[in-house]
Amino acid sequence: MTISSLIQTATSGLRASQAGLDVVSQNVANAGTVGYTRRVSVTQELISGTQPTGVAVLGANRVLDGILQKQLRLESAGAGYTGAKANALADLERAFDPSGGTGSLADLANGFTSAISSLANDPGNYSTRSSAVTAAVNLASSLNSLSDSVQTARQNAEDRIDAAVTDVNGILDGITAAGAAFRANVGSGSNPALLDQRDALIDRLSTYLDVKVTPGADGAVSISTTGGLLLFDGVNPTTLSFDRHAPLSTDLAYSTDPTKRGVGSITATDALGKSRDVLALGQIRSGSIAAYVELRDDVLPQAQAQLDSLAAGLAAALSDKDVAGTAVPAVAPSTASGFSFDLSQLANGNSLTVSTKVGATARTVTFVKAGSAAAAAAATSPDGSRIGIDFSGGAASVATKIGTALGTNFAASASGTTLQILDDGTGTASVTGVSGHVSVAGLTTGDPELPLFVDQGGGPYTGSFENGTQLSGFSARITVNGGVVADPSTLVRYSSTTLSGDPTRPTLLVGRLNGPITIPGTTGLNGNVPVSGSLGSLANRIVAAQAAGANDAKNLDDGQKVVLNAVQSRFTDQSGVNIDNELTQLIQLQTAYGANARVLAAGKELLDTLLRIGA
Amino acid sequence: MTVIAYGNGPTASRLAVQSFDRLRTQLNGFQSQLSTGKVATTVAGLGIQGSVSLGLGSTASRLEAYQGNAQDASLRSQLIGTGLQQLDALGSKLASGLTDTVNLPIGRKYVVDTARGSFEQAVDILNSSLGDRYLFSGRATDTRPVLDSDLLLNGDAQRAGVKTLIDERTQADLGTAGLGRLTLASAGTTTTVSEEAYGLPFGVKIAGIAATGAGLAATFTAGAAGSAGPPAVPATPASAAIDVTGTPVDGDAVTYTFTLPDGTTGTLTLSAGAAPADGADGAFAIGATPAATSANLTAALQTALQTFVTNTVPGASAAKAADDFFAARPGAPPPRVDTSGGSAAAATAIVSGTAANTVIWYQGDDGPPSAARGTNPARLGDNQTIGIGAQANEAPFRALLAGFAVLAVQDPAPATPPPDDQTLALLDRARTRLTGQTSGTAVRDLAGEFSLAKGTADAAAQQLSQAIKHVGDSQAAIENADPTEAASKLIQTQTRLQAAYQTTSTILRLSLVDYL
Repeated sequence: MTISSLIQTATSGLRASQAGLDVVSQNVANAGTVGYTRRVSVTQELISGTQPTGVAVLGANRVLDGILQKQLRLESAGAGYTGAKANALADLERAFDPSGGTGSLADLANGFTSAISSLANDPGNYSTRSSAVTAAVNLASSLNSLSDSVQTARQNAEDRIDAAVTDVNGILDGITAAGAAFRANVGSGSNPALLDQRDALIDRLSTYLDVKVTPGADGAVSISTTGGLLLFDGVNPTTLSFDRHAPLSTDLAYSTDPTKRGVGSITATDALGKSRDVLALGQIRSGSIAAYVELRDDVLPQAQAQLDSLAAGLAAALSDKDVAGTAVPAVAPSTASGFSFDLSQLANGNSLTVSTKVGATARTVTFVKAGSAAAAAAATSPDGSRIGIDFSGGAASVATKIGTALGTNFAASASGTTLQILDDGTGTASVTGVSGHVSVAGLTTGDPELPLFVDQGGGPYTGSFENGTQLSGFSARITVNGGVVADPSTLVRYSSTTLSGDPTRPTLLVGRLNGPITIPGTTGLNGNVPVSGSLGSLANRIVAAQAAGANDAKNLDDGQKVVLNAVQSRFTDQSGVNIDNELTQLIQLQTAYGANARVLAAGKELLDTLLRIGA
Repeated sequence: MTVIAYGNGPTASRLAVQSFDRLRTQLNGFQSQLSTGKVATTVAGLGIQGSVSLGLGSTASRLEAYQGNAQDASLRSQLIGTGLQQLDALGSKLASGLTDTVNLPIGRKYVVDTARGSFEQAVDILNSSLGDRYLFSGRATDTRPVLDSDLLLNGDAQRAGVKTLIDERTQADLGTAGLGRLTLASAGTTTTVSEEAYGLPFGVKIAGIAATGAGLAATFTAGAAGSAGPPAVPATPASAAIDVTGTPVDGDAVTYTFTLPDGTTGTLTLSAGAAPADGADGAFAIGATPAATSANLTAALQTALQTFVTNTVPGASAAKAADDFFAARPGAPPPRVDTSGGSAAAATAIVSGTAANTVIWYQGDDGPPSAARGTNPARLGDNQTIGIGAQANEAPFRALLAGFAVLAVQDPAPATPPPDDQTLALLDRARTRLTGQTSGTAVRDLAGEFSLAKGTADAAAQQLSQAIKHVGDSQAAIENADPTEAASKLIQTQTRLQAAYQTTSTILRLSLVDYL
C-alpha cells in the first residue's frame, strides 16, 4: 500500500459517493414522477492485479421486479375492462331507474295497468279515459327514450373505441420511437431512463388492451395481446384503425362480413401492409377496448332486445285475437274432413296454427304470413315448428306450400281467400284444429281487442318479418294509436253501438295486461328460458336485470380495483421512492464523502510530512 | 379508467388519499341518506333487495288500483242502496195507506196525488247519477235511463203514455157489451158462457166451471184452434155450459172460474136461492121446472157477469197495460191495442207500438235486466269481482212504477165514482205491485243486495289498505334509511375521516428533511 494508492482509493471513494449522491438526488427529484422506478447506484471494488485499488461506479440500476410488473399490467388491463363496463352500465341503470323509481319503466308500466284497471271499473268516465291515454303515452315514450338511451350508450361505446384506438396508435408510435433510441445508442439496453420511459408507455397501453411483453436483446421488446395480435415486433408497430359509425341505431350490428357490418371494427395493419379484422379474430380479450366492444355488441343489444320484446309483447297482447277455423264436414262420397280458414284476416307476421294427427302422432305447425321469400325464410324457425309462408303468390300458392309442409296425408286447397285443409279420409290421419292468430287493426271493428300501441306511422304491430323484423327496434318506434289519442272513447267503444259504460273492452285489456305476456328466451332475462308475466312484472324484471347487471359490474370492478391496488402497493413498496430512505442514504453518503475526504486529507498530510523530511 | 401510478412517493400517502376518497364517498352517501330518507337513489343501489323492492312497488300499485275500485264501488253501491231504500219506502207507504182511505172521495184524491208524487220521485231516483254517470242505466252510463214522469204518464202529441195504453186496454178487455168479451147464450135448459173468439188477446178467459147439487150439470169446453183444412174446421172458443137437469135445492151452486187480463183469476158463484135472486146478490131463483130454473139462471148470470166484469176487469186491464208499458225497452216497444178496425172495444189483435207512437219509458242499456249487476263489475282483487250495475228496467222497479202508474192515471175526482169493488180491485193490483209480489224480487231485496255489495267493497277496501300498508312497510324497510343509523354512521365516518386527516398529516409532516 502506497500513499499514492491511498489517495487514489480515497478519490475513487469520493467519486462513488458523488455518484451515490447523484442517484439520491435524482430519486428525490423524481419522487413524484409517474413511471419512475427507484434507482440504486451500483459500485464494485476495484482490483488491480491482486491489489484492491478502490471502488468503481458501475452505474445506476432500476429496482424492478419483472414478474410483478407483468402482473401489474395484466391487472390494469382487467381494471380497464371492469371499470369501463361498470361506468357504462351504471349510466344505463340510471336511465332505466331514474331517481329511485318515480317515472321509471316499471313505475309507468304499473301506472298504465292501474289506469286501465280504473277504466274497467268506470268505463264511462271521461277523466278516467284521458288518464288511461296519458298513461299509455307515458309508457310508450318511456320505452322510446330508454331505447334511445341504449343506443346512445352504444354510440358512446363506439366513440370510445375510436378514441382508444387513436390513443393506442399514439402509444405504439412512442414505443417505436423508444425502440429506435435503444438501437441508436448501442449498449443503452440497461439505460434506466429509457427503460422507464418505454415501460410507462406499455403501462398506459395495458389499460386499453391485454398486453403481453416479450423482452428481446439489448432493451428491445415485442408486444402482443394475449389473444395473439402482434402490436409491436421490436422495430415496427402495427397500425390499428377503426371505422367509426354514427349514428348507431337498433338495426346496425356487428358482423364478421364487412358488407353486413353496421358498426365499426378494429383493423390491424402490420409492417408488411397486411390487414385483418381484430374483432372477428377475437384478439382483444381484456382492457377497456374489449369492454366497449362487449357493451356495444352484446350487453346493450340485449338490453335493447328486452325493451323491444316488452314493447312487442305489450302491443300484441292488446291487439291480437285467436280465430278458430271453420270445421268442414265430409261431403259424400268423399270421407275427407278438416277445417277452412279465411286467409284475408292475416297480416304479415300473423300466424295460422294447424294441428294434425297421423295415427297416434300429433303435430302442430305454425305458419307465419310473409310478404316475400326473404321474409318467409326469416320467419322460419330452425326446429321447423314455425314456417314462414310467402303470400305474395296468392292463396293458391299458399295452399300448395302449406300442403307440402303438412305432408302427403293432408290436402290443402284454396278458393278465393279461403284456405281449406282436409285429411285423406282414411281415418288414420286427421286435422284436429286450425286457428289463426290475428292482429286487430281497427278501433271499432266489433272486436274488444284494441291496437292501442302501434308502430311508427300508425301501422299495427303484427310481428312482421319484412325488411328486417318489425320486432327489432320496436321499442324505439312504439307509439300510442293516434285514433285513441284523438278519441279516448275508443278505449271503451269497440263498435258503433257500444254503450259508453260497457266494461267489455277495458276488462279484456286489464286481463291481457295481467298476462301472461311472454318475452322470448333470446333476450337473456332468465338464461335462455322465456319469461312470462304481467306487464308490470316484466317491466320490473327488465329494470331489475339492468340493476343487477350494473351491480355485478360494479362489484367486479371493486374487486378488480382491490387486486390492482394490492399489486400496485407491492410494486410501489419495491420500486417507489421513499424520501426517508433516500435521506438516510444521503446522510450515509455525506458521511462517506466526508470520510473519503478525510482519508484524502490524511494522505496529503502523509505526503507533506514526507516532503518536510526531504527539505 | 384506472390510472396506474406507481413509483410516486411513499405508498402510505397514496393509500391515504384513496382512503380519504372512500371515506368522503361514504360520508356523502350517509348525508344523502339523511336528506332524502332513502338508502339509495337507484335500484342497483339497493343491491340484492332491489328487485324485491321493485316487485313490492308493483304490488302496491296493483293493490292501490283495487283499493280505488273498492272505494268507488262502495260509494256507488251506497248511493244505489240509499235510492233503493227510498223507493221501497215510497212503495210501502202508499201500499199501506190504500185500504183505509179509499172509500172516501178525499181518500181517492189523496191516493191519486200521492201515487203521482211517488211516481215522480221514483223516476228521479232511477235517474240519479254520480259524477257523469247514471247509476241505473247499465252500461249506457251517459244516457238518462228514464224519460220525464209526465211524459210517461200522459204522453205527448205524437206518443201515447201509460194512461192512453190503460184506457185502450180497458176498453178492449171490456168489449162493446161490457161483458169482458164473453157471450152468453141459452138453449133449452143449457146456459152457455163463451169467449168471443178463439185466441182473442183481450177480455176475460174462461178457466173452468163447477156445479154442486144434483140438478146442475157443468161442462167446460176448452177452445180449439181451427184448421184451414181440408176439411176446414172452424176455431172454437172456450165455453162453459150449465145444464139444469133437475130442480136444484137451495144452496146448490154453479161456480165459474175466470182468468183476468192481468193473469189473476176470479170466480163467480151463483147459488140457488130464494127471491129476489136476481144475480146481483149472487143467487138465482129456483123455478118450478128445470126450464124455468134455467131461464132464471140465465138472467141472473147476465147480471152477475156484468157486475163481475165491471168490478174486476178495469183494475186487471190497467195492471196489464202498465206492466206491458214498463216491460218495454229501446229494442222492444210496448204492445198496443190494434185500433185500426175502429174502436178499441172491438179490437181483436195486438200490434207492437213504435217509438213514434208510443213512449218508450226506458232509454238505458238494452241488455237483459236480469244481467244488470254484471253491467258494472268492480274488481276488488285478482279474483274478486262484485257486480254493482243496475238498470231501471229491472223487474222490481218495473213493478213499482206500474203500481204507482195505475193509481196515478186515475181521475182523482170522477163525476160518477166507480163502484167500490172496482176501486178495491184496482187497489189490490196496485198493492201487489208496490210490494213486489208480482216481480218475485222486491225493491227491498235489491236494497239488501247493494248494502251487501257495499259491505263487501268496504271490507275489501279495508283489507287492501292494510295490505298496502304492509307492502309499504316492507318497501320502506328496504328503501328507507334509518335516520338515527345514518346520523350515527355519519358522525362515525366523520370522526374516522378527521382522525385519518390528523394522523396522515402528522405522518407526512414527519420527514427526515426537517431534522437535517
